[in-house]
Amino acid sequence: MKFKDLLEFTPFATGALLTLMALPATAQNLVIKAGRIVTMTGDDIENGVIVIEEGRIKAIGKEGEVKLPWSDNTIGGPDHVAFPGFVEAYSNRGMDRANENIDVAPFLDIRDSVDPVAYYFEDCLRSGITTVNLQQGWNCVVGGKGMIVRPHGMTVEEMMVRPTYGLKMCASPKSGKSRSTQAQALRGAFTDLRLYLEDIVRKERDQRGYAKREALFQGKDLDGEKAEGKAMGGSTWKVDGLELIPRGALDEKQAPLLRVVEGKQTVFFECMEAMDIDLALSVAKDNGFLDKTILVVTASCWRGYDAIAKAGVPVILKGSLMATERDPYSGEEIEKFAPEVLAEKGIKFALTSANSTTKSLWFQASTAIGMGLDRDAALKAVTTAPAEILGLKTGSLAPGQLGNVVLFTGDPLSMTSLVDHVVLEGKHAYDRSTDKRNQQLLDGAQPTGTEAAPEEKTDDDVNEDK
Amino acid sequence: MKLIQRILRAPLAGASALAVLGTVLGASGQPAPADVVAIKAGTILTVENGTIENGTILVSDGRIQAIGVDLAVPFGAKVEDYGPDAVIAPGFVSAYSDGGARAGRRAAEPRLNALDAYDFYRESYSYLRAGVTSTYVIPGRSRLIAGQGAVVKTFGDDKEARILKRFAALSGAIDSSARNTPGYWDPPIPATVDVGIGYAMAQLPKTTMGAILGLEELVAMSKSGVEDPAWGPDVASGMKAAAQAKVPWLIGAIEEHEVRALAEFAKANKVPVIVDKAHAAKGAAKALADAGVPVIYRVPTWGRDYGKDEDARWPDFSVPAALTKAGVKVAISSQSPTRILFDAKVASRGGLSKDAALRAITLTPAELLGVADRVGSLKAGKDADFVVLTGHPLAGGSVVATWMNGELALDPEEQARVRRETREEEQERAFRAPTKTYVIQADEVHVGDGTVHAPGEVLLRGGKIAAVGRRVPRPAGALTVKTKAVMPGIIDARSFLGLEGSSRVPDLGFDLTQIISPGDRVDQRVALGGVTTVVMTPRGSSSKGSPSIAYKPAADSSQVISTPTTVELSWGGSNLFTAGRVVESALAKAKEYKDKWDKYEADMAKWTPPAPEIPRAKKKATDEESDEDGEEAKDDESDKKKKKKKKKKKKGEEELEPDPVTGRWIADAENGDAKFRFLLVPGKGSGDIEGNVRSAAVSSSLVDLTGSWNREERTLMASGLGSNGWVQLEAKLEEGKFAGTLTAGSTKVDFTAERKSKDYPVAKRTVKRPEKTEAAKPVKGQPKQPKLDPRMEPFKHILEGKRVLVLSVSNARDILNAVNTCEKYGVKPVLYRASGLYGVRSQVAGRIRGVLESSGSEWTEGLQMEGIPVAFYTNREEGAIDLPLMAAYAIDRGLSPDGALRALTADTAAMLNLDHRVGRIAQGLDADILALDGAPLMPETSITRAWVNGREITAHE
Repeated sequence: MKFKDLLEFTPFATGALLTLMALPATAQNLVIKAGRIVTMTGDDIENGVIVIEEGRIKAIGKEGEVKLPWSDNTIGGPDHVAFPGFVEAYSNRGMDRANENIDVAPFLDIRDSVDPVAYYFEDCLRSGITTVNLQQGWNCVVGGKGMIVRPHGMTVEEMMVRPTYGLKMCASPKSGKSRSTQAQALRGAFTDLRLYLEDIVRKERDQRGYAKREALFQGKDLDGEKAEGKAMGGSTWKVDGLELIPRGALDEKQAPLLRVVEGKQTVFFECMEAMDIDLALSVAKDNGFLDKTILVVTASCWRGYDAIAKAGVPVILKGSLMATERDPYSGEEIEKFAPEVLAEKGIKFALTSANSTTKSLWFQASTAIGMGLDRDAALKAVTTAPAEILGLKTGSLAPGQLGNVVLFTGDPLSMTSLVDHVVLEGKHAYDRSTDKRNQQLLDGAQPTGTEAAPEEKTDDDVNEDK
Repeated sequence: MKLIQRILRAPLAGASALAVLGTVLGASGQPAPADVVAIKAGTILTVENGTIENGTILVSDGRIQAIGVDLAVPFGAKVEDYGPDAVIAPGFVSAYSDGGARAGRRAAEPRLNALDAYDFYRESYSYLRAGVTSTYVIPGRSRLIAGQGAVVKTFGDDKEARILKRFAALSGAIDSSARNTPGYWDPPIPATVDVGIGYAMAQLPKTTMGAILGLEELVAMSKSGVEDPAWGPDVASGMKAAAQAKVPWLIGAIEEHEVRALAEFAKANKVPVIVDKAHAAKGAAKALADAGVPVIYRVPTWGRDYGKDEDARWPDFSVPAALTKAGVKVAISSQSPTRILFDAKVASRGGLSKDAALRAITLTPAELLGVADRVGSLKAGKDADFVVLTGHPLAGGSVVATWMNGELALDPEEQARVRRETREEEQERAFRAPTKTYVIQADEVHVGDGTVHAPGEVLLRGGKIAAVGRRVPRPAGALTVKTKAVMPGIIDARSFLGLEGSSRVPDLGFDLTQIISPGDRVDQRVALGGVTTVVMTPRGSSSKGSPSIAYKPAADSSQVISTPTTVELSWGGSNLFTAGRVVESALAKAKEYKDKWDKYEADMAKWTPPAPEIPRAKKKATDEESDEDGEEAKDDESDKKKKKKKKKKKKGEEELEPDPVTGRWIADAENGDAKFRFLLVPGKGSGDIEGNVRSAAVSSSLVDLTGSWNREERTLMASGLGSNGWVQLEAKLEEGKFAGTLTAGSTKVDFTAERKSKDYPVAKRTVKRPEKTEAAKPVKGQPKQPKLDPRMEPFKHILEGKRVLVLSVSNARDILNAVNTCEKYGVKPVLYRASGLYGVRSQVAGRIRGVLESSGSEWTEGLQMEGIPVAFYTNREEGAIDLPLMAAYAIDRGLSPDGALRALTADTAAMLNLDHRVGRIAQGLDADILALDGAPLMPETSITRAWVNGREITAHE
């Protein structure tokens, strides 16, 4: 319990600690050579090298111009294209179940659901994804806490990039709910929080020490930081006297929402239709977490993008890039290319994989280019933009960035390019020459420990035997 | 500019609008009160303050500023005049719309608001088309108290501004739909530590008395504010909020006993109940009136099985009438809001007056829902939401336009234009002006062939007559025209209109369409006089035959009906030896020519082409290759060496664009004139270019261009006849852009043009080419094709009966000779100047197509009775306008009116093979219609309106 709490409240420190624990190999230096380096920050570098030390990029430049470390552990060569790797801005995969049945469940943590050996993570490496933001699915009102992982590792701890990141909310109706009951439940969650806080403060005032005693009764220890009461920091509404209550004494079910109201928690707000955007933005505004809100929208929401631009929140475009509808005036089918609308309105956006790893981020970016988005914007939408939205130091190759590098056999967006190597924070996480599944698929290699199926006799063979 | 467009678009804006425009422009640049709009119509139904005839509504800031007759229109205000037939009514208020709401979880959810589920992004078009400008949105259905209903406007970008009332009524129901109990216990699955095993749900009422009991409990809770766990959380506070908001309870009840129970409940508990649905409320009328409970009658869903039981409730549409009679306030709503107008008509059964029914879908629902201060009637200070219709909304009027907050939210004409334009772009017919849809209602519809529909209606749509009969369909947005009588446009069977004084006789091979110009002022006046089609014939005569062309002078598109329509020959009766020679020899030659072709065609039908040889196939492949080089392929085939050389030389420069000219171009005028566009298509020969240009600066109509494209110098020269004379287009192609001048008389427009689309890709030409190579290099054994002679073609067509021979022959003997000669060749001629015909009428009847008569004579009747069709002509240019007057005079002298009408329309059309386009008011024919203020062809009758190709002809300034 103690360890877990620590994780929750000091994510960065713990993240670094875990990195050191989980990836001992990163102490080593790593040199990556490539015929071309796509930096995503400036011009491409021909015949370049990347030096990674302690999980971070130490130096990057043309071969010969960069001082190479003494212990030379080199991968790559002139045929490779080095790329910062794709950042999956939002995903519900890699879990045993993406949804819990409870409407309002901010106390849930996705960590308990992540399956490190899911094929999904393996496939992420094959398609050049270095970082995945995992969040709960859409079937909720207020969902649990999410996390950012790298798709490599045998335990969840090994995978963690940021152990607790984001809280899921959904403005579109959960199954069994209508739009108005969904709205009612969303607003109700915050009303309940306020009533609870007012109630606990009132009880504290009536009988001093009630909350503390209640907490002790529940088996929570109130040491250190948690024993302190703090004034509430919400920008739109506050409960007076909350400083009387030690934070540890708060109900676990309500505490995450309090962090949201205080603007300390990023919220992923999912919207399936344009009308949901208004609800999401109004709930965020009313409870003071608009600047911590990231909207997860679909292409069919495009009519609501104006409201998003006005609110100035970033957007993650989920799944399909094209919305198709019938124009009521001319009766013609019209197609709206959502990234174009987003770009037009100046909204910062990231793309996500469409539906499976075969339609991964490279596919989405290539599709976007094919439909008219310029290459630079499309590449940014799957690398630097999600990194910026999620606050990660990756998505581009520059000194100081995390040592995430993907070596492609060709252009990263080309259909025929393959991922040869993936380096995650300096660790060589994927090598195609050892990828048995890939070899079996692409080269027809025989998996070890299996036998070739006996050839079935055809009628001709039978006749020949005679 | 926008202002000008608006005014020009407004139907019948005509003189007044232009006058206003004039004053605006003349007001020395003084800024006009931009926001004021004056909307005029023949009838304005205010609903609240009666009907205003020929009134005006002044609108500014989205509100009605003033309404009345003879209002002073502020200087420079926009004026929209919908004409004397138009009716303006308040925008309809739909008292029901589900907005996608579903049933809530519990029996009473007074906190649930409809707006949370209302999609402001949904399309408004269907509502606006139905004239519905405001609608009540239910929060949910099938619950005792489903939640808070809201009233919103159906159109607008600003969501907040669209909300008329956030909490307009407490929605609920006590009918059987709301008594569907979900059960005692609804366990969450799986039950976890975090979630208990669930709480018991309140049992919903299963009977009417249970429902009433439930409502009474809720009333008590709204007073005490004490929550009852059986109802679930937040119910008492929600009910209290509703009580404080003083909103009505809009409770659904269907059966009579439910309605009675509600009325009693309202009376006993002093709750402001409105009964919703009320399908069988007739018997409870008195109870409702006593309790002062109003009703929103929701027209039951029709078109389904109602049940065969004795107590099955079949819809009774006369409930509103019965309730109104009993003194109950009744509004009408529809299960499908966009059907409200029709359903209101249905619900008027049983004697609900038109005005009462209109009130029931406008002011009454607005009052009941507490939004009457903003919508529901036309009154100064209220929102400018109204509907423009072609007639009284409850008497067949259909919606022409819908105004919302003082702005034109739905303009079907505009949409029709958008729709047509998108379609036309596909069909490469972007330049045609739109036509409106009209329903013409007349006391008498004279079809032209003697049939009369009295009364009758004609539907004009898309330039054609879409329907004729006693009653025709009324498509939405159709303009209704009422008139005494209608008849088809008159055909002048021999006219000089369009010759512009010329007395030259063109060759038979001459294409007469070249001298046709789009309708000008004179043509429009002639059309307004009734003559919509003329058969233009040269003034002189020719021994080789003179051609004529049937066309519509006043039309601006689809002008030509057929050319040459007739070939005219003179029998020449003065010298008996030479008489008929010309005709005889012409027909003999024609027969010879026709026989040659018949033989060729017969041979071709018998001939089987040999299997293609391999080298031939190879050659074809190289052909296709050269296709890419466009024009090159057209070079002389025999000169192969030269061709190859040329090809190589050209390849470098042509690779960029094999076909740089043809297609649609948008030109930017350099001296600030408006943009114009022109279309170029490949012509018949190499380097020939055809096309058209539409530019207001040089011509008021479309100018057809012919010219040439010089590949080497990359210059284009084309010209054509526009409304202001010849139009010359000269341009040079540089880097895919044309730069040049468009000249007409003294007007000169410098422009640069960009290609918008390549309408005629190179591939199109390959279709034509194989024919050509075949003709050039006939396969062995293939029958030889005779030479095509444009001078003989019309005669060939005459022999085939496709064209008409007009014979100028006067005395009786010559007539008989001529008819006999023609009969030899199987030709039935039309006689002209046949003064001696009457005497031999019985001998030639059935052997001639008809006779042209300058105007009715005393013999005309006799000819018609003999079965010889007669056609009238004028031999005048603009004098053609008097053709109907001449006919009227003939009638005055004894000709039957019917026969005269036929001679002007149907008979002429049939005689001259024009009956596939004109001559009658029949489905599928061109919409050339005359509206009359009396019986046709009477001297005192005048033509009030005229349509050509479905477009109304208006007097030019």
